[in-house]
Amino acid sequence: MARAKEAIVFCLDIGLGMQTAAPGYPTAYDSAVKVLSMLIQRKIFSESKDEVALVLFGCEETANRLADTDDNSYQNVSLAYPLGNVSFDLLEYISYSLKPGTKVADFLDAVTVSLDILYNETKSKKLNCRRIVLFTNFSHEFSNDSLDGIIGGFSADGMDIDLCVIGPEIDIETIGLNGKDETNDEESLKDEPSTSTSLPKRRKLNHFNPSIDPNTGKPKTCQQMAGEKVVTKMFNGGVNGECYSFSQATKAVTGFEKKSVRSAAWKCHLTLGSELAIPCVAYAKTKEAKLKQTWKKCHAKTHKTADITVNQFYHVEDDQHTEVEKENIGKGYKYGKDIIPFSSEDDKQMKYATEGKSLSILGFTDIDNVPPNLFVDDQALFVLPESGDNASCTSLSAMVLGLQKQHLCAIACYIYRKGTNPKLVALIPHITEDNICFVMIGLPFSEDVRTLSFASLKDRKAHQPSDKQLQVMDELIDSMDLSDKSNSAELYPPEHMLNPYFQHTFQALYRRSQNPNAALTHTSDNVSTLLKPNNDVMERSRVKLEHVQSSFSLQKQVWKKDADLKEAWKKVDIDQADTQGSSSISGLQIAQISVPTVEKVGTVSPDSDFIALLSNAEGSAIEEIFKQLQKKIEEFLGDPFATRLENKIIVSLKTLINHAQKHNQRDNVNKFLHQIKLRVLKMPFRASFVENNIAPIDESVSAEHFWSDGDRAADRQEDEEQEDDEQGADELLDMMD
Amino acid sequence: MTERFYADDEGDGSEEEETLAIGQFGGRDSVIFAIDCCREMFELDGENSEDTPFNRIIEAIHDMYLNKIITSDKDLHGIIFFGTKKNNSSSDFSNIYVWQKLDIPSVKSITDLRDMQKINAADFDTQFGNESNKQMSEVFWESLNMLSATSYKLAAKSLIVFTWNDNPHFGDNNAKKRAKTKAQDLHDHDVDIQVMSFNKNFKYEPFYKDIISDPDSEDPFNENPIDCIQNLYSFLLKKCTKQRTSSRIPLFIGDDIEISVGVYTVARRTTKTAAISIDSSSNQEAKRSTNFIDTNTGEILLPSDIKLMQTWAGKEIVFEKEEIQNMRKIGKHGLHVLGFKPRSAAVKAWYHVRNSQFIYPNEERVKGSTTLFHALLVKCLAKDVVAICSYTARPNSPPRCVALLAQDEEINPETSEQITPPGFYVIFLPFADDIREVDFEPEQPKPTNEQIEAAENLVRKLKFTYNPESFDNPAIQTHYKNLEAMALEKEQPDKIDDHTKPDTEIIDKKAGAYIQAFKQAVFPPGYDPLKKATKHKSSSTASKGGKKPKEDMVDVKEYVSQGKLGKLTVQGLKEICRKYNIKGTGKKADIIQAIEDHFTQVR
Repeated sequence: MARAKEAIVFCLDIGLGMQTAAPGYPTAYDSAVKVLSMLIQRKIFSESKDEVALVLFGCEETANRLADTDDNSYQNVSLAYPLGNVSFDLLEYISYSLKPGTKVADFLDAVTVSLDILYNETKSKKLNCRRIVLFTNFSHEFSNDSLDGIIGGFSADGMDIDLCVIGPEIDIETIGLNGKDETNDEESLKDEPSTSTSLPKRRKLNHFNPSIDPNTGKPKTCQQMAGEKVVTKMFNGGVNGECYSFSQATKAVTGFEKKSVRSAAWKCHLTLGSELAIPCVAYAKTKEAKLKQTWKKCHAKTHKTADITVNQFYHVEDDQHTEVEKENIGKGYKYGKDIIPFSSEDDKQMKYATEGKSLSILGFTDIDNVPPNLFVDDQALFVLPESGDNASCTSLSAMVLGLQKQHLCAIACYIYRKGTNPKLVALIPHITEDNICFVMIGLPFSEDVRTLSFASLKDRKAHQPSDKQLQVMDELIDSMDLSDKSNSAELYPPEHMLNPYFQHTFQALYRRSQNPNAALTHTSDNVSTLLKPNNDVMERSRVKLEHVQSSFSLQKQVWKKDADLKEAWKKVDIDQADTQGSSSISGLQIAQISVPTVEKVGTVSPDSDFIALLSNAEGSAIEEIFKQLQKKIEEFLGDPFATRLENKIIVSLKTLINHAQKHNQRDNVNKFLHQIKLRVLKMPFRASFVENNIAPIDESVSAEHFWSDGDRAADRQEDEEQEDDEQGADELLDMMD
Repeated sequence: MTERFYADDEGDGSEEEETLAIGQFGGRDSVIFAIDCCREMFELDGENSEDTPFNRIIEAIHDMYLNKIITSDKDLHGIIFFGTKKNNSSSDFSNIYVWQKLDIPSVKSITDLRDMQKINAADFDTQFGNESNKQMSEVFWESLNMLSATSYKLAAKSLIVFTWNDNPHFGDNNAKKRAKTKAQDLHDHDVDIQVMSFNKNFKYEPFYKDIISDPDSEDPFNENPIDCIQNLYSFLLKKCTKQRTSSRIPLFIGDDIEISVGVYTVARRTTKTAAISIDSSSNQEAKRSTNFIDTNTGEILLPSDIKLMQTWAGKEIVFEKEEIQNMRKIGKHGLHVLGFKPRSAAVKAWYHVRNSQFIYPNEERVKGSTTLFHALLVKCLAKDVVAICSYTARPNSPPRCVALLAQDEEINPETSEQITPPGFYVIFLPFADDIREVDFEPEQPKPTNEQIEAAENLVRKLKFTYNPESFDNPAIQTHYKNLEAMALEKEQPDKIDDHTKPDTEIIDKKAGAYIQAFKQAVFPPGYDPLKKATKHKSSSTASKGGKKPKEDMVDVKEYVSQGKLGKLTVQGLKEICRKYNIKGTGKKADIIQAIEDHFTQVR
């Protein structure tokens, strides 16, 4: 991943005009600072080697090279941070030390100062890109006397400098049409898609009046319009660059960054049969990004990594954990239950060998046979023709277009390099206005796919939505449309959404670096809103949501602990037990006639066995029958599937208690309850026992009280906490990999 | 003692990243096969006269074990013969012989199966005997005993009965009743019962209907699985590979509408099981443990003595482990529908960043989930839209943006088997951070219609129906065949069919003429793609400043001072580490950091 190096001058307007805003809107100054610090933050955490400088204008002081030579010009423009690598100092300065200015200054002066810096500082450096990022809302006077000279300055000496403007919503089209350079403007718009550096297409947001600055909610002044006109002129005059509004901050950020992460090229020949080979090159287009650094362990007191020595050792799983010397360690594989010793030599000799990198087509298949749900691995690559080879380009494009027309894609075998295992990939035609290429994505092998099958939804009468329910769902979907119909921009576009986890981590790192001893605060707004429901959408769909809610019957089941699935079963069982309880007894009496006499309390229906036996028993036999049921209950409690037997346990216990008085077995039963108490408390039965009012008879102890025990409860909680910890540790490992 | 052994932090991290979203292991799947050993099972079938039903069953189980070793070697299996004279069961039931106890497959269980594959009735009789009197209730009882006795935590539990007679207890109502009660016991323990037979006249009504259907179960009773028996192996595999819910999560629409769905894995790279370390003297597994020692005092450090650190822009930033975990807690657990987009606009092939998942409603947490889910599915299909959601898979995993892609149920009209289940695929969308810029050549020549047509003619010749099931992973297969050969003491590992190697002969034969026509259409005369590319390649690398510098010739200090270490290979960097005695491990960036630190300190 070759990283391009850039030099950037951030040129920030802190003048008086930046500090006003309609009530409820942030000032342009605040917005600008926010975007700027985000940019710098991300530069730091992407380990950028870019060099940046900060020029302020509209400030009290004047400190720049040009003003040194000319006392009257370039006033109130100051170089606050000389060109150099990004650092926390710069971030700190912007976040804490920077104060709004008290003066006004000409933004063209500031641009000139920035140009001067780039010329003087970077002339001899090897850079991929030079750039000026201008933050202003154009509310100050300027003199465009030397505009042509400035425009020329952007490309003088073969030093192409880009200009980025982050400010009010500039409607280039409108300005262009009113301005003089109409023809030029149209041409540049036409060229747009072909070159990545030209102006991005601007969308007119229909609920914004173009003459109102959406950032501050105030009408644009003539001054601002004039400023914007100048910028348009600069772009039309040949300056490369882009415009972003403050509200498009994330767009701006990603716009910068994409240019700095480039994929390594993978050159190969796309082959078909023994005769056809097309030179091509693959680049990762999408690949799950990871944090640039891993976490290193350090000593808690000294914060030094060197103060920890990692000691690894091997041991056999016996009682003594007998250590095994490193020399005696061999390699093996598990084969089911057995271990097969398998040396690295064996492995080398016998493993599947591949000859070298290749991308060979196995055949072509209908594009519908490779739906996105089949894709595996964490990346999608673009396969392009070899650069500068027209024949490669023609053949690859013809193949892509031919497949597209036939509604096909290619299935190929991909070997990254000699020795790596082959992978199956799909080569899917990708055709945009200007580019024709393949998208290459991993496909699963037979060992990788899980065949899923679920009960049909159509056959299940109980779950058929009614026509009305379908209707409200239909309306809800319409009301929550996120696509860019009706002129408003598409919401949640992947290309411009920042990963909130990264943002959050960056913030935490930054805060900790500023203040090593302070506890971390919670997610800041700009992170948590990244993936939150959009207020406009929610407002639009509020009524429909209510309709859906009232049309469907949704009953949340009661959960003690959300993660405990066993609890789910229990709950369902108890509900059923309650309704069935009475009927099962009457049912039993009928059944008794035909069923052979019960001889002892069995496992299947211990409660009815018990009742049946009791009905004929006398004297000491009664005590014996009680014992039998108690024994069964104990068996159930000891069963590995005890939680699944809860229903039986409860019914048995209830039966036991209900019959105790009549048969004079109260003390016996109470004693038994005390006996099993500890065991029960170890199991997740407490709530249902309380619910069913299972308690010792006449002991004036409520079930609630009986089935609780201060110490046990505390233990249980501790257990749970420990579990959480363990899970956490695993995740941490995942993360550190 | 325990204090010495802390979690092994290093791990073999190659696969872990992928498992992150997949979920945890909730117990083992277990299957018991109960095989009727009556005469008919050893008789040759008229049409399929090569193998007896018994042989076919054993062969299928054998093949399935071999597959399980690769795909899920933690699953438990057991085999019961019933209708035998000899007994071998936990409760001394007569006519029941537990041939293989519930356990994970082992070399012995596989060799035993292999040896059993060709057994005939006479041999079987000498070994196990034959007795037509048998109690199905005891078969069920023994199965439950086997499942209960295991010390492993079980997830899915199944009993698969292979039998012949569809009414084993004809005229004996008591025996029927007992069997039914025992079967209900199994259902009560969540054991799924399947009954299969090679008997063409087999009916479920007389007896087995009540055995296999659990009155509480929602699954529609599958009337005739005998049809599926044509391919017993794949049928067993399907039955025995339970789809595990990796989690049950809430799905929210707006703030107040909440349903519950189960999340399932769709596809996931199967890799070789990681090699384990063994004690060469005993061939016992040797566990690797790591402890951390205070370099200065030599004392063993407790987890609380260790913090985690990263160095950014020259600042060392230190956190507690818990703090790092908490950084991941951003979103609320579950799927949150943000809105809807047209399918074609929201789901693009090149957006792919992660394996997809599947969701299907469950009623246990929110009653009514299925109906709402069904309505959503119907409408998303009709309108061809996807639901865009923020997705927090676990309470402490960072959120992702996903699209819910509706999948209609598809049934094979011939076999009435389900091809695709109804539900939504969870398609992961990239963040801006994941998308990279790829530069295209500005002015590419466009192919002519003739050229495109030549391509069309060519690709039409080589069409096939892709199905992932038809491609085995040759590397994995080779590995396991090797292991198998060593484990089962075969002389040579079995050859594998490698479907990833293109069959150039067939391609040339089928489409040779069209390939030539295509080449003529697109390549200028005399164009040699192979020659040109290599030439191009060497010239391009040369222009970039020649070969990579040999590390031993490199002035490391110069590289450090110019920040050019990144140009070296990892191999080269590690060499530098060795040479200067620098502790450099981990990612390339980490090694570079270590080297830079070393030299800046020296200075």
